[in-house]
Amino acid sequence: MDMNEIKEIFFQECEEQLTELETGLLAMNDGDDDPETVNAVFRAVHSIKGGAGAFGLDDLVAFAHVFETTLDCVRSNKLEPDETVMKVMLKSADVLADLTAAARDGGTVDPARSSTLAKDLEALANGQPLPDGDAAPEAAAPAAPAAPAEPVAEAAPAAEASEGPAPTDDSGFQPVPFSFDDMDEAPAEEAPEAAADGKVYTVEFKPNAGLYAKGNDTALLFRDLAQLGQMEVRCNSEALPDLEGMDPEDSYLTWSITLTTESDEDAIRQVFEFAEWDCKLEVTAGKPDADENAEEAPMVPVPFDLSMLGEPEKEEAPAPAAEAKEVAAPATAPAPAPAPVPAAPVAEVAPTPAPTPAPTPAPEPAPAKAASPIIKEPAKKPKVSAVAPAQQIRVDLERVDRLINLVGELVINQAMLAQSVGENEETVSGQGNNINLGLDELNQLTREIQDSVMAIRAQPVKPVFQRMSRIVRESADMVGKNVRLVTEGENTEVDKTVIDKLAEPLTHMIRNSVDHGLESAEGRMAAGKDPQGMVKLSAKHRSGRIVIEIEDDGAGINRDRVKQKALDNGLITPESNLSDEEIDNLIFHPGFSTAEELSDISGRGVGMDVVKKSIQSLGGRISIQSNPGKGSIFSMSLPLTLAVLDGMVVSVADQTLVVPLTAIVETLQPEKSDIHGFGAKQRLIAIRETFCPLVDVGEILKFRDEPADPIEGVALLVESEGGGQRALMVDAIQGQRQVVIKSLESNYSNVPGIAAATILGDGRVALILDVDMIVSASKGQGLALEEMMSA
Amino acid sequence: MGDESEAPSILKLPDNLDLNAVSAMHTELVGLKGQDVEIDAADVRKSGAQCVQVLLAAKKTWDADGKSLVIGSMSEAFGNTLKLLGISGEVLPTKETA
Repeated sequence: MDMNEIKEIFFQECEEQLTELETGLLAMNDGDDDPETVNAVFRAVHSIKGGAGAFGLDDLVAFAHVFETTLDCVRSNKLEPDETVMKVMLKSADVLADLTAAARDGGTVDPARSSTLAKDLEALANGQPLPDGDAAPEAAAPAAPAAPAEPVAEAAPAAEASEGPAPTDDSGFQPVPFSFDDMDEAPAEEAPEAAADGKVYTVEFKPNAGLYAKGNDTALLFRDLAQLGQMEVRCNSEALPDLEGMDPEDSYLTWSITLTTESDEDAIRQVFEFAEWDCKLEVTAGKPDADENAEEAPMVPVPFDLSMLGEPEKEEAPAPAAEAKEVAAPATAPAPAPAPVPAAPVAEVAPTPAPTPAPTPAPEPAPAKAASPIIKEPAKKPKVSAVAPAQQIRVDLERVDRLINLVGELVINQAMLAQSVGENEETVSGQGNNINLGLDELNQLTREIQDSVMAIRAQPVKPVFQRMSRIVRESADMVGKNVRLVTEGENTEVDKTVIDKLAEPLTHMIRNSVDHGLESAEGRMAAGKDPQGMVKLSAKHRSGRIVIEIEDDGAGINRDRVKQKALDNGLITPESNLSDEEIDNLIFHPGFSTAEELSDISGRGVGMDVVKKSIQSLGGRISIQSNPGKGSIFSMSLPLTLAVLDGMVVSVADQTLVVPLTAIVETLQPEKSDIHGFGAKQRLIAIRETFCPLVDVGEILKFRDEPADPIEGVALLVESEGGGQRALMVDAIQGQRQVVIKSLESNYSNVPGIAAATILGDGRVALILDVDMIVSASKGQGLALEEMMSA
Repeated sequence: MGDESEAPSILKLPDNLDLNAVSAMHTELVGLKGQDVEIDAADVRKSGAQCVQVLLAAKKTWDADGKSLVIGSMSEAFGNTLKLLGISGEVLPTKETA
């Protein structure tokens, strides 16, 4: 696994953490005060920070650090998560998401935005009032402000000192030339050859079991530390029980390291940054107390520098004992550490992030509880399994897609086989029963395989819904409205491809609801409504499709204005007598926009027509229900998968077509007495005391010029999304089967009235009918033509 | 210390001594308790502090039992880890020095 793959996994995990983060923050925003929620939020940010640090994503680390600090204040009850705090937190989550995306895709994030937020976060953590939003930008790069808020200020003298000509340290260490070449994985970076000139620090390191359980390792940390300079490592094994009494996964060893380095304390702490919650770390300037060392037998210091890695046994094996003794000497001898470091200020910071004023992390107790429950009962808890209850694997989407394609081919192949067996029934009649039985089983198996494969791709809509909460926040901010997003049915599952394509139309519709749907706070109060507007996003399964609704409690569609606008734009004539539904649907007309002024958020030249098109390209439909004064509901109905569908294979004017089974209510053989003429060309069919318009599919699709005789054909009673039934007339029904959808758009181009294509058992291509389009085309023949021509 | 004349049991360590290997290694060592043991770390490519910790605990136990536990041969990688962790040959002796 190379670095890029690991990074890819990190970003996938970030997605999950960001989702966690948002879920938690939204719960907190709704008044959830369960400490576990706060912990979960904290963990999410902390994990992102941890991973980002490993990949050197400094902007992300810096921002996550500030964010985490503030969250920690909330966690330790130093900061009340009131509305102001939550607002900043939610925005910070957005910025964190942006920074993650920027790190992944190479984009940039507005530095002013992140630095302003970082300042807000710091102010919150410090218990100060929020700085004025406009005053921030001079803080520039996101990395700058973010870096550990107070500790930096405190540690500044130390940092300065280290930059000046470092006073020589006569501790007796021999400067050893470094070579990274021998180290297998070591990053070839700055070789600190002048380490001996640096300052001396003592690092006390006591890892918890949690550190190991999370995949960190002391050896790796020390290797990073060794890059800062020369170090002497003393391992203390006093707490180590005997073999049988130990929990092999617990942590008993502690270490004391004397590091001579040119780097400052921050650099040292940074090495341990991602283990900081799982260990006790003390960094002090100067050497450890000589007496202590002298007495403690288990602490035999081993000098270490990276150049030693790579020449192992040769030098160590022969005389380790001697070596150990030899090196013990320098450590103890110049004990009163001549370290000319400004001891006072550094020492103040040293005992770990806790001491500074109020809100610095205060890491040990709380995080230990939150991040690794293992520490409390080390003997009982198994390592990683404590964290991950459900077994999951990550699979590249491409592989799943390949599998789906193959299963698609299998389905086609199976259909072909069935067909040729059917055609040759006489020749195989002897054993025909067996063959047919086998075919049936194959059919059943194929279907099960297909369902299982589809289930792999099925994902809850939750991530998309969560993204919408950000859209609501941002667009509400922009137009100065107070809006609450309510979501429902987030766990409704739908094919991944559908989910991926949902975000864009949803975003636009949500913006539209916030911008145009909801009234201003004053307007709402005047109408006797809660000044806070509500946008509700819900998802549910309904008859083999997913229905997503965006509901607002705004003023509803202003039909007079829509009509006027349509008149102005020449979309309708003054004589047009339109139903309410038809007026509402005008907003889906290309270029239609009723906003008097184009606002920042929804007036981007993208109209609802684009939304409609993108929903349609997914095989979906969209409809509006508007109630003046009370609000509007936009509902989208989408197929659960874009890969297969159950269809009825029919013939129309010598062509084979597939009609999605979900659209068909029933099929009937018209009797002559059932057919009635209506107007010049229209025909109706009587079905159980109701009349239903009869639509000749062949004529609509221009397969023939003259309408066929209904008595000769079959009528399929279909229900369109806009409500209302139509009887589609076809010549004959060939059968019913599952077909694999092959996109017409990607293989040819969009054809009105046709949703997609498929390959039949005999290898021929059949077109899949877009029932809604056919129905809407049939409503007004003129419109149908126009639509077909224009598309 | 252990009886040098008797052939010690040899425990061959796997190439990856990360935290997943810790429990198995612990169990194997517990099973060898009471015998002189020579650890063969020649194949170790990757090792973590927890495995070293188990070895140290074993060493402590073996010492208390008056048995010998030594490192027979070790890979470069394993030697590096021991150095990084400040484990001297005195704490965990090799065959030659024991």
